[in-house]
Amino acid sequence: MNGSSSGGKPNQQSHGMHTDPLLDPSTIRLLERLSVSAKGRIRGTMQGKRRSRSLGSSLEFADFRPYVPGDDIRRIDWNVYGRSGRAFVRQYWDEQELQVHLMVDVSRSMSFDSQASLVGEPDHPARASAAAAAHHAANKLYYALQLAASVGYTALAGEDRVSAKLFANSVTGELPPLRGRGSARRLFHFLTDAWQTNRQAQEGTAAAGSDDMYNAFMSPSSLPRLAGQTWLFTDGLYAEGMERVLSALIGARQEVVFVHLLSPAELRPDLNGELRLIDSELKTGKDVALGTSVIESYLRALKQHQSDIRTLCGKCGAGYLFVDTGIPLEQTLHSIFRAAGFLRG
Amino acid sequence: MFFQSLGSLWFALSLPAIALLYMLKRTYIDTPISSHLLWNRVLKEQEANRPWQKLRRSLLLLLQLAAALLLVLALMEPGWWRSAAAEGHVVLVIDRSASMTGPASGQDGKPSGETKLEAAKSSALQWVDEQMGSRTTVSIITTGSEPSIAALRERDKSKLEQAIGDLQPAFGESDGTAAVSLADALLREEKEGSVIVVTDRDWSDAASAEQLKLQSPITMMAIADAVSTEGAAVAAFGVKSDPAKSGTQIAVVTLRNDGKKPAVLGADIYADDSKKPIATATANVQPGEWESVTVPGLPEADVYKAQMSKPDERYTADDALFRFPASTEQKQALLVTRGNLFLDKALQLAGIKTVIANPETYEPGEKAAQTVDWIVLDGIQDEELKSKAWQQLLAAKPIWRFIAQAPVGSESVQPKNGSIQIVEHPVTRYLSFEDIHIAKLVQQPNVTWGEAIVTFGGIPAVYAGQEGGRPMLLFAFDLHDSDLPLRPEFPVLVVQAADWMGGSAKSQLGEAVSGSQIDIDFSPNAASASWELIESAPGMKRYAEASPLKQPEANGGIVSPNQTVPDVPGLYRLKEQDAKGALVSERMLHVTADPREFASADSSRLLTLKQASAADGAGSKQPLAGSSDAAGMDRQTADSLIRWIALLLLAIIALEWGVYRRGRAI
Repeated sequence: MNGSSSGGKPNQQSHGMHTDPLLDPSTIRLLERLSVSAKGRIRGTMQGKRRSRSLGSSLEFADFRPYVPGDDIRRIDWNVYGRSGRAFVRQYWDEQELQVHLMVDVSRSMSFDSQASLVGEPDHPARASAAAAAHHAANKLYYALQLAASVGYTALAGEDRVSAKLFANSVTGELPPLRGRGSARRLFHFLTDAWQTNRQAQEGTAAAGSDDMYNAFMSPSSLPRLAGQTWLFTDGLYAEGMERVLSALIGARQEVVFVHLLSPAELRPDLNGELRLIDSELKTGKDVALGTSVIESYLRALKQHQSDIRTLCGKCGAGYLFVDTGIPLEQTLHSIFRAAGFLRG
Repeated sequence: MFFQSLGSLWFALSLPAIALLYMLKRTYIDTPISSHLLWNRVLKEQEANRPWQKLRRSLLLLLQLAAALLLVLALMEPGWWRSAAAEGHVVLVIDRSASMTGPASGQDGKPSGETKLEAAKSSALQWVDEQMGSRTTVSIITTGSEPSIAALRERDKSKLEQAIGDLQPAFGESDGTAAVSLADALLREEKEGSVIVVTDRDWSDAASAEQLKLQSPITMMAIADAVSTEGAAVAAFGVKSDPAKSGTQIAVVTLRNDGKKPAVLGADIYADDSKKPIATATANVQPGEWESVTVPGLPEADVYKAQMSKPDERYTADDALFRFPASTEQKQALLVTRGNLFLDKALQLAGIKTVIANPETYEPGEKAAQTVDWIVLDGIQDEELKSKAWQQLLAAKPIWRFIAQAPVGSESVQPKNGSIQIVEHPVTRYLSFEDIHIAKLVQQPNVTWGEAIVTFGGIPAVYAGQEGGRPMLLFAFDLHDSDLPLRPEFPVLVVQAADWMGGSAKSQLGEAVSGSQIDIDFSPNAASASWELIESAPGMKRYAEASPLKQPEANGGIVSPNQTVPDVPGLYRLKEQDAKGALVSERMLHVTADPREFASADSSRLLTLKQASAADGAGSKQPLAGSSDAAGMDRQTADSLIRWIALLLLAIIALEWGVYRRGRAI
């Protein structure tokens, strides 16, 4: 354990990353005690720790079956043969690994940093301090990557297979399935890279992201091939396509966990006066004179949006987790992931 | 093209102000947000599905609609009714001339039964009651021979009402011009003020009043004259002794028809205080014409009265005239001369019985003092009449002097030219003294009792006046040094001079216009005097009863010779009493109203007054908007609201600016 935790950190440093490690040691220690829970029996490919729906070689008894030639004679229950004179073979549930797919939305709206991107106003007093301070504290993307790292590490530590995908307009990055705790380094590297890339891309002008979530899932390659559990980290700020994405994932035999991240700036906008609101993805502006009534109706719309997604997830049998990125990560893992039962410890 | 209110140009300052606002307009602050998704929903909720619902929330639209509405309103030129002259200082000029005693027209044009003065009073009272603002100060000026101020800067309504109620007509000469210009002068220093003239517009001095350049807004509150077709007057009345039949009097009555159609007018003649007429004069008079009727055979009496048989519908004050018969007894003058045939003959021609006295031989006795009415000193120096008898006589009688040679202390002057200046005086009436020549004049440095009525070549030639109630006349030249006696005017001059000298002996006081000043020669021993009304002119009784009779002024036991005639037309008796209260003498005076007031009103003579145009004086006040001098008086004036609308419009623009800054939505 100690080795793996220290394994992630120096690697990042050795790669010359300027950011902090995604997860600090205390979080990793916490995660080691947890495992990713899956609802039903899993149908994997490789031996794992999870009960599978297929019969196999675990210690968990499943059934008896009359012996047929060709069966492993080590499986004959000799006690039964002694009493009945007929050979029966003991069958056990197979234990297979769980395929955990982490899908992180890296569209502009996710990486949007309300404080760091006050580019329109160079004199903005908040800017200087914000740049120096932990500017990613409430960044949704960073938070999503942290969460993905947590879930991924938990899965790896639980000997499950973990793969990761980044998507915006389309799938922009993919991490092939990893196994074993030792692969955690690669996962972390991939996710940290994603953060770095995204930050660089953000400084450019290219807009990434669209109003239709399904854009990213149109190609079959973007969907996981193997049945398993898909964690979808997104802010849900899509006008459409969410339902189709969910049904596509479920059609790909995925158990979907929808992690809905919203930053405090979105949850509790502290805006006032006459503002030209610029969409981070579309780069279009909207002149709004903000007053309490406008903020109130915004909050109503937000609540409506949130409950829409929750209802949608409920209909599709997907899990729904709502995360306020203003809350510290450990607290989120504790209070939301564990309490909701998606991580078990 | 013209602009009615150039002052509104100040509103043009709003244009640069608006431009400035837009220069200062803050732009929307660019604020990046993660996504418009939720904001779109918010704003979509606020947008409406139906066209009119879109309008509901747009404050800018509402404001623009309001601005357009205000523009339309302004074009409709709205106004606000308010009481006229509710502010500032209002001067009510109330005409109380004799013509105001005529009947007023009621609402329907028929006579309302009250006089015009009563109508004017009630109009003024109504104005005070209804339109006098709480901050208005009101002054009341009444016309008369001199304008009088009945109330000055008064706020107390009850005092004003009392002042108006106490008004009495002034029958004498009425100087309305002076009253109006006094009213204007009162307002000269006021910021806000106006003059309201309550009048029947029938002014004898209308022409000069119209020439006034008034600085204040003026409003006419016209009292309509009842249209009457019948008006008549006793225009003139004269009585003299009948030369053909001694002991009887002959009267001449002149009747005037002021009506619109020919009428048979009749005048009854009364003698003394008889109740029944002793004679009647009738004449058929054309409208606007005069007709004289001679009535002979009247018995002797102290006073005669000619009164219209039928009361006048229009003015009653001119319906009666009183006359005193010319005195029958012949005057006697003591002509102290060394021989002056011209003067003697001229005096005899004037009906004066002369007693010629040579100063060197004649010494006046007791008889002379009783018989002689007045004395002519023809070139006689005072030094020659030093005896005590002469001094007593000279001190008691009126004296007409001719100065032949300069006494000590003065000198004879030869006039440089023949220019003549004549002062109007009973002695100089009808005379021109044209082309006369006076060779030598004696300068009179200390004539205190009278004034020079004729000036020849810059040197006073004739003085007239009164000394202690005695008429005095002084010719500063010798008749022998002048061609005056050869002139045809000389007998006329002597007749008038004799009338003037004999005035003191008149048995009656004669005739005077109401309110005027007359000189009365009281008896030397009269300590007090009093007026007594014998009979007021027809219809004037109520005015006579309304105000107490003004009694003659007396000062320290001496009755002033200059007295004011009673106001109300009629026949008066002046009683003189000595220090013990015993009656000294009784004389009668006929007081008439100013005859010009009763001349038939011609529409071209109706008074119009207007404020001098603003160009005439920069300081002239603006008249109240909508004030009118039409018949009656506008009860209200309009305040234009356009300025307020313009202000409101600017306020809306300011508000719109605020909304525009904050955003379109509410």
